[in-house]
Amino acid sequence: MPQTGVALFVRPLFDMATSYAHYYMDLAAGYAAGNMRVIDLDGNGATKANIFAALEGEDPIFCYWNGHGNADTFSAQDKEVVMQTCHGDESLIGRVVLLLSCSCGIRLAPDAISKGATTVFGYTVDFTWIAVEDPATDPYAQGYFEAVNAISNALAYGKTTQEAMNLSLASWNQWIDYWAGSADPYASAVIQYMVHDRDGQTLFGSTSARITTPTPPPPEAEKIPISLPLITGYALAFLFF
Amino acid sequence: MAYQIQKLNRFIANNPALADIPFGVVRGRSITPREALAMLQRGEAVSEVVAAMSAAGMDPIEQDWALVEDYYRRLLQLPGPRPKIYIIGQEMTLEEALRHVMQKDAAGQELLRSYQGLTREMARRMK
Repeated sequence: MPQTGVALFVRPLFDMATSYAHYYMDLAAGYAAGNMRVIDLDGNGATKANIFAALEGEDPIFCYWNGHGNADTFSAQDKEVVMQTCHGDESLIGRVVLLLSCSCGIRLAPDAISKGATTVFGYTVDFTWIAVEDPATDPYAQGYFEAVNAISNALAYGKTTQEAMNLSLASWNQWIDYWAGSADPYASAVIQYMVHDRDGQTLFGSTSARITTPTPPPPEAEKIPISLPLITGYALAFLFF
Repeated sequence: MAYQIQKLNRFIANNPALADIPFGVVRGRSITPREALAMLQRGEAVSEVVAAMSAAGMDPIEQDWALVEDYYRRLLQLPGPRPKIYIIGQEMTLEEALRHVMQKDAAGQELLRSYQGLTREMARRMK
């Protein structure tokens, strides 16, 4: 029986693309650690052996994993295959899983649910973003990863899986509103891929599962979604109605 | 027509990032919301522009290929630094994106799908 209040983060780091999720998932891991016990496998530690050892030894109820993927495969550091449709996903039984990985929502996530995973958040598209600078300073990438982190952040403080999904979708929409009002020359490309990722984000399985008991989030953590898109989103809503 | 002009004015004011994105084809060339507004204000090809606005986000596939190609050509004319497109485990430049679109290969089809998502979002905001 997976342990409530325990989370396993997997953050490979082997190219520019993984460096973005690696950076932003570190923020989510830190946030979750305020209310959960977090096991964090990052960089060269994000191997298949370490992942399965953590699943067996720590039995986390929540898994937030990044890695290259496709409809049938999830991989970790250096594209080492961790699980495939019909092979390995039985290890997710009873867990709530967020797979930040291309196209795993097409077959792998539904297959994991059929094996007994409680909930899987997955993408039915190749998760895509644009960026021009390193992760910590890039102006474009932030919104993509904050919208995904909204799922983890909500779950970590006791929201249900559906509430977490709704908060994430709200975050995507706030960021899309923000960029729609921007004069940045590449704002349309940011929106293009935000719409793509938002529409491909899918919740499989239970909509009422929780990974911790509900707890008020710390005030400083509530600041993680930056205020500008929030204000812009609401402001645009007022303009429309 | 005054209603369409009002809608486009409001769209451009609220969504400046989307004002120069091709969303439809009129008389053989792609048009953006800003160009559509100028055409309506000049009284040029009014019925075609209005039809293109109504069909935004629902264009036939061949037209969408032409639009997405034009879209990436326009992105390549913008000042740098140019962002890269990242997919977990991969990255591509805007030049490579345009090549994939022109070749209509698997990556080009994925780019087309995301562009269609953008034009659907534009159409939703134009309503």
